[in-house]
Amino acid sequence: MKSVQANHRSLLVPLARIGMWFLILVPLMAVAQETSRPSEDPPVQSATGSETAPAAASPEEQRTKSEKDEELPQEFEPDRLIPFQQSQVELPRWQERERSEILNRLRPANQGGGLFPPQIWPMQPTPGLEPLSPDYGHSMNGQETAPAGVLSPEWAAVYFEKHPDQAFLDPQHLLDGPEAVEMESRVRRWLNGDIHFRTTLLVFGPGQKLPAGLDIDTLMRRWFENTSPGLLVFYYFQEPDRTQAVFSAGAARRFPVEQLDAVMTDCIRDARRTEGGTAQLQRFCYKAAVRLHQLAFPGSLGSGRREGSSGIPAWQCLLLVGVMAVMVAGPWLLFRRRRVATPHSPVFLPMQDFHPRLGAPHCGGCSAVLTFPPVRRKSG
Amino acid sequence: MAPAEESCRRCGYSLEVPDAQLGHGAVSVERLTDADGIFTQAERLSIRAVQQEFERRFPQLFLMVFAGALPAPASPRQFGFWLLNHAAIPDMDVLRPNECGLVLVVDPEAGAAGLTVGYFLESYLGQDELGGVLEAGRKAFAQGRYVTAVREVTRSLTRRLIQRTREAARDPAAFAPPAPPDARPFPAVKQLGEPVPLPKPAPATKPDGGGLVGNLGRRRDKG
Repeated sequence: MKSVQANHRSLLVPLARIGMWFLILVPLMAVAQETSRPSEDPPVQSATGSETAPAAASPEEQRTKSEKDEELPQEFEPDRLIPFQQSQVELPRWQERERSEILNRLRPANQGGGLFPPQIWPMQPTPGLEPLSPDYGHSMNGQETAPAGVLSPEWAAVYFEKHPDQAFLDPQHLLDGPEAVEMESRVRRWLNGDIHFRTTLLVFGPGQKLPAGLDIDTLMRRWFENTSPGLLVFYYFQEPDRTQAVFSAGAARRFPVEQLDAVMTDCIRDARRTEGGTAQLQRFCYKAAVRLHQLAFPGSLGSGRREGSSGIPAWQCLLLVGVMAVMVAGPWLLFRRRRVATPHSPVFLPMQDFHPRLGAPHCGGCSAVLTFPPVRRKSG
Repeated sequence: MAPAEESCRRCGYSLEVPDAQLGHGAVSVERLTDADGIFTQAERLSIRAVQQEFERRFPQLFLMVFAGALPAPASPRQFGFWLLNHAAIPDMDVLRPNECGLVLVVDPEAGAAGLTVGYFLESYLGQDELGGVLEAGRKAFAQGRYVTAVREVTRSLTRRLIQRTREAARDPAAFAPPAPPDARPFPAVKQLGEPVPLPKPAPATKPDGGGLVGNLGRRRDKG
């Protein structure tokens, strides 16, 4: 007990110091973890921004930009090294001419911008312009887009006659060709590839309605297996509020219905917050990929993150709270002990009568002795 | 004040024993006595500051420090006992008599330290308490850092005295001084009553006369 009292103060001071370092390091670790974590925002947002930027620019800015666009790229010389400060140059700007060429399918999208000069990348892939697949061509008697209202039986047959091979079905070409290809790739990679959720996303036009005789349950049984989790999404372009998502029996058996409903609710809410039909669909797919990934792999990195949370794992929160408690309680205990031990006012002991003994007038020999090994004298 | 007891009733030890070895008269000493010169001037000032702070906190008490090799037969306990009874500190005020003092004796050569208190503090600091106070400075004593040891001992002493003061304010009876010793000499003669007369010799029933042995020491019943 005596040793505990003697060492109590010496233990609290290191604890307070450790707590202070933890208080400094834990938020830094959390921030570092946040920065290293992949962002939830869609990786490609520049396309939307590039569409709106020229319209908002002033004439002077447009002239300056056109002059910059006309500038020829600097020739790369391998023998002359670029200084470090100049090596961190920005990526080349998106050129309207190349964009129009890509949209008109005169230039492959994977070479847009000419990022790598021939000295670095001598093997430039040959642009492969192939005819579009029949799924993306004109169909349905030259009618490209179905009218608003209930889908005609012809369009219903296109949508529901057989299970589409691709995960993203847009027979009405509501998205442009490259965007459709890109969206197909994303849906396949995000929703089907990484999550193992067999997802099929059908895109309908705004104002369109499903046929009255469509039996979704039968369609689900026909398209999806009973064991594997599957998801069928009826997405209405530019109207994400009307989205219908149906999970297969395997998904309903594996996950609670409330969680599945919450996933789709979040996806629709995120899509609704975004402007533009393409961006909405892109946001919907990305959010669905994130939430379904969290659902399928609870122990993964992104699973600990919830909407509205601070992003710090629970154990770090507990550790932070513990450290803060130690930091608050430690100085308080030290201050309390110091205040008890060293009062500012003089202390008077109650007077007691005493009885001399041993013939000694002042001291009766009450004492204690401590022995220690005799050592050479040190300073202090 | 109760009448003084001149010597220990068990062993006969009294102040005369150390007086015969160390001297009878009063000894003029300072609060800090560095007999062997083991402290530097700065260390003396540091210890002096510790003593002044202690005396400021406890206006009734004083702390005396003696550092140096003790004479051969004397131990820190005996020397502290003798010093506190004979010390005459020149600048000490009359409000702090020697019975309100503490003596910390440090013998570096023998590797021993003793803490002795006067009569006034006996009610508040027993031998166990004093041992705990000294334990606070054990590490510094063992490392030869005597100034630090004095500081640690004084800090522990201050803390315990404040604690005892509060306890005494709550329960004064718990810190009442021990009862005065019996004035009768030791060993006290037991009043056994009148001596038991030996019985008359009875006719021997056995040749060895063992019947007399059983009556020795028996008290005769009155009435």
